[in-house]
Amino acid sequence: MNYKGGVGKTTLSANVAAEMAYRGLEVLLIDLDPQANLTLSFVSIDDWKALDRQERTIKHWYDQYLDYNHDISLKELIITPTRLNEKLAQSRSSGRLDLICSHLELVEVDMELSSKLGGHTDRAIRNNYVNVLSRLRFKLEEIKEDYDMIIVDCPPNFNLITQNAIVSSDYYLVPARTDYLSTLGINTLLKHVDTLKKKYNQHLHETNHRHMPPISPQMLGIVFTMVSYHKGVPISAQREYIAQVKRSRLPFFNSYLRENKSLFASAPETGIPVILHQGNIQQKKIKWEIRALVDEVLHTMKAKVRS
Amino acid sequence: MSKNETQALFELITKFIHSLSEEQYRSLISGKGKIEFKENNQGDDKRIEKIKKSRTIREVERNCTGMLKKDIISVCESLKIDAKKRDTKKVLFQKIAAHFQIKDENEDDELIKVKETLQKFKSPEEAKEYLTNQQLLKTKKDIIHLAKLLDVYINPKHTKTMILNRIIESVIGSQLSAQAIRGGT
Repeated sequence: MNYKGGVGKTTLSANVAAEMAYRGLEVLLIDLDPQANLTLSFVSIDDWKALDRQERTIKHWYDQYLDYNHDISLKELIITPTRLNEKLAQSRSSGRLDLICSHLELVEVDMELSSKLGGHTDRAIRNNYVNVLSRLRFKLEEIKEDYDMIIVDCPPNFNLITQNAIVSSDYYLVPARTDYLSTLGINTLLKHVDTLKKKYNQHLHETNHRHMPPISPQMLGIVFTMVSYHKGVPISAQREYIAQVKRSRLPFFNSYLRENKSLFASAPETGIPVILHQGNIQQKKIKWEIRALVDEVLHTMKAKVRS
Repeated sequence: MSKNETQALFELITKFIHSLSEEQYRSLISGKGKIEFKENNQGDDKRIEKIKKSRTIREVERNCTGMLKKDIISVCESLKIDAKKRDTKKVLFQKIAAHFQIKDENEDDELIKVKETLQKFKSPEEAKEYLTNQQLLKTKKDIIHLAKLLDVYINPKHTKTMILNRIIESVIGSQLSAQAIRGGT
């Protein structure tokens, strides 16, 4: 998650999920970004159109709630992208990667969800707030046992769809570019997540959803993306912002993702993320970095669960 | 020639012959090789005395300020340090430091202490006062070195004050901005 666009959220989600599946995990990816970039990284346009016709995207799922107050299971939306899972099978991996697709009109759903927040009394407002923000949380509860890992790719904003994702998550990763505004943006994000957590838990406590435990989404760490290297180390202009984040005592990952437009730019077209490509030395470097990052992510999660 | 002088001369000859390889010795006897006379440069001796007292590589560098590369190579030759024309000045300083067993750790250790103390300051004013009174940060080079230790990106063409301000902004200012945005969290 990050408010800023173009920081590598989708690339990170796709590659981390694919690597986890390659390691034998059962992974579910959820694309909540109306740009549907993650979806189109795994599914061809024709297949996605077919899913649209069948009303099997996250937008249609929200529509069912908005139009008819229907409580449909997320299971109806899950697909298993063919090209990627064939690649996993060829690699003799026992893992699987499933996907819930996004939709370009998801952006309108957000506005309609906002209209559901109102009410005539304080109690109604509180109840509506918890109901709207908990849509994803409630329904993910039903399917989370089927997966080892569920990864949600958020849109570059803090709208109700993003808030749905935060409310339903145990942890969140913040991909960040190493520049002045991105570094400041991390702090804004932290403040907003903290405010959301407090408000949601307060309302949850005051409504008839008291059986639901309070939420506590924790930042797993900042992932520095699009890092440019010179003589084996990040260039000094970027090192400065990395150092600033480290000094601020925010959690961060020691594995960075390097800038490589030529590799990352073309990967979505193949339906297979860079991490599962055969490749030259440049691709290998990127693969090592992603693998090292996944190692760190899994290790940090285990440490947090233990503590 | 006095007895002592004669003795010193023979010692010099014995030492010289001892330092030759069999091949060099044969070459000298047969007239193929020749012995060259070179007088020690008085200036070099003074510089060497000064360099000897250096505690760090950067001090070696400071004690060689104003010297051309060929002068430094001359000092190296006087000290029988294997210096090559293609060596950069930096490499020559390192070779001289290695010759006198001067390590670079002391000064970096002290600067690391400065770095750590600086990171604890909560206000830019306090930080500035601390840095301006630092004995280790007298020259622009020293300040640039601190910036490198802190991973602060600076323009070496800027003045000392501008670089110091840049360090303070990057180290203290950025943390204050972060706190201001995060508020009480």
